[in-house]
Amino acid sequence: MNRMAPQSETTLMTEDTAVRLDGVTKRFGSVVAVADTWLKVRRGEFLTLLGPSGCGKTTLLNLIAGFLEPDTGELFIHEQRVTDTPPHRRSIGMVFQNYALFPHMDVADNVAFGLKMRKTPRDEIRQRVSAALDIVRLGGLGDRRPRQLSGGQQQRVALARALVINPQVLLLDEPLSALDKNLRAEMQVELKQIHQRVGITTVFVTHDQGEALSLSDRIAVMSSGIIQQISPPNEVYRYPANSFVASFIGDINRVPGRVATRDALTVQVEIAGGRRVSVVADRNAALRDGQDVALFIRPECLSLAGGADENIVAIGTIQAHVYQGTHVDVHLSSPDIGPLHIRAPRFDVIERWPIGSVVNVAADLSEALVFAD
Amino acid sequence: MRRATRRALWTAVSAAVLGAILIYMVIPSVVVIMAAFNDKAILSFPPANPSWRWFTKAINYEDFRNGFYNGLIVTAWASGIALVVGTTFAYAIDRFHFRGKQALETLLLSPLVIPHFTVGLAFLILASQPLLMLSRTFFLVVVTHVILVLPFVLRSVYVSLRNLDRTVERAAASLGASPVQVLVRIDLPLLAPGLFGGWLFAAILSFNEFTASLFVTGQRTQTLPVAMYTYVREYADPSMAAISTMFIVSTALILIVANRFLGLQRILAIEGQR
Repeated sequence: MNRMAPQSETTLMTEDTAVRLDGVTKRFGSVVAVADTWLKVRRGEFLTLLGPSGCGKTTLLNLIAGFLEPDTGELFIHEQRVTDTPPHRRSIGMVFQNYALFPHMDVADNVAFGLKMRKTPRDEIRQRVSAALDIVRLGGLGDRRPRQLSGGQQQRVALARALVINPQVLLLDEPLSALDKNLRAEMQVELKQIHQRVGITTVFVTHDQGEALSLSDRIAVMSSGIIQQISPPNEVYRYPANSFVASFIGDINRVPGRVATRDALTVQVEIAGGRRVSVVADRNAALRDGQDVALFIRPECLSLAGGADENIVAIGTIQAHVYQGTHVDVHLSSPDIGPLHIRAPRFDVIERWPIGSVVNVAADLSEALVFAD
Repeated sequence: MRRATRRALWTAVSAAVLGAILIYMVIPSVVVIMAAFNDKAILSFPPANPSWRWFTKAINYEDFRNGFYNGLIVTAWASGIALVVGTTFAYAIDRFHFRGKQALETLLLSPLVIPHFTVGLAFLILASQPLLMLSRTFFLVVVTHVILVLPFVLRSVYVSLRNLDRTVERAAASLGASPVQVLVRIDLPLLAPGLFGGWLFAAILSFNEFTASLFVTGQRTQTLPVAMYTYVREYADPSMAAISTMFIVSTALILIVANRFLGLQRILAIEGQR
């Protein structure tokens, strides 16, 4: 079930693979942190490991880095077997959540450290350090101590230090989570630009779905040690593989129901309250008649309907309007379904349907998803 | 207005209390230092005619000179050994999980609660066993001192180890540093203040140690405090005060220099990780 190897991946040429995990498992006592994971990271790809805390994403990263050894399975970097290679013999660059700069060295020495370990000639070290500091826009700060820098600057030093050694893989362990919101957005853009410029294979760990969606070529959504889905951001968002991914990525409404009938093209679902809706079948192949299911609908696919509308799925009472600048989040309570969340693009909903009004909720079901409950 | 008066009164009282405590703390040093410059051969206070004669006498007194050199030998060995042993144990306790870890920690810190004369007496008894051939050697004194100063090194290094950010070691490893290189280039520089602080306290304590030393030193190995004790039993002149003065001044100088280069809070290992 967790063998994430769709067609497109098995046909990958091996020389295109930067990191390969073959059936890697890691346990801590009785807890399975990473369960029988098969994963290929393409060269130059920006892959994000996304999931709630404790889902195994950091363990997976530490396995790739070599700070942990897998209990079973094999690990390859650029098709070299590294399963039991210690971290200092792997070609990795890593950026840590707390930056982990060397406090007793200035910025230039921090960045030069990896090159010194590789016995690079002095002149070359100087050139490459200053080039790396330029990439992260810290040129001229080489003689500062880490503690004299702001959080964002320390983050850049850590990035420069990891990039300067030209590693085969760049590993980022929640590098933005310690920054304040504005700086985080700024660093996201910068990280993306640096990745595009340097073209380095990057494995990025985060619990922030916004970060994952905006930065990644592909996202591996993890929970309980298993990669639930690995797809490009828009696919993860629009075509989540299961109810976990659907609930974890973005806001979504969960409507309980039961499969009424199905044919080749559509699935008829009887939702709570007795209404029948019809959903595209191709993504919902495994459903049986009479099976309990949950219908997942994004808030932007729901709308408030005035009069008769054939797409009406529920009736609800408006509980709150949350003005968000670009749109209004309307929260309703439906006697049949429970809470519903609607994203209304127009602000007049606040005047048209004040709190307490009873309204019809219409749904655009073209992107709705049905998963077994 | 009344509130201001009350506040002024409160400030004055606080200052007076603080001042009294400070005077109480420095008064032994002040009395001894002043007595050291006394011209007369009695331990009187305050001195009548200031003079350096007791310093000259103390420095030239054979037993004191030997005691000083013996003390240096014992201190150098004891603090050095304690540094190595204490660091090893601190590292093991911090990094590894093993059975009896708690017991080991308690055992290593136990000299803090065991009286010095108990330790001294124990080694005196051991030394008197002819088989051990320990009797009144430097080895015996050093071994005794190591036990007494070990907890201080252990504490100091342990606190530094706890404050050491382990991800920094990982970062170094990810950049290609082998475990030995991580130790030499990352751990040792970052632990240096803790190591130095622990060693410094061990050295000062060892050099000052009297109670246990009285039991385990002999004529040939007696340290300065023991020599002073022997002296004061027969004579009571200000040369004792002169030695004390030299002692206070040199210790203060060492601490000032150390503070200048490392910062006292780092030596005392009371600085938290930011």
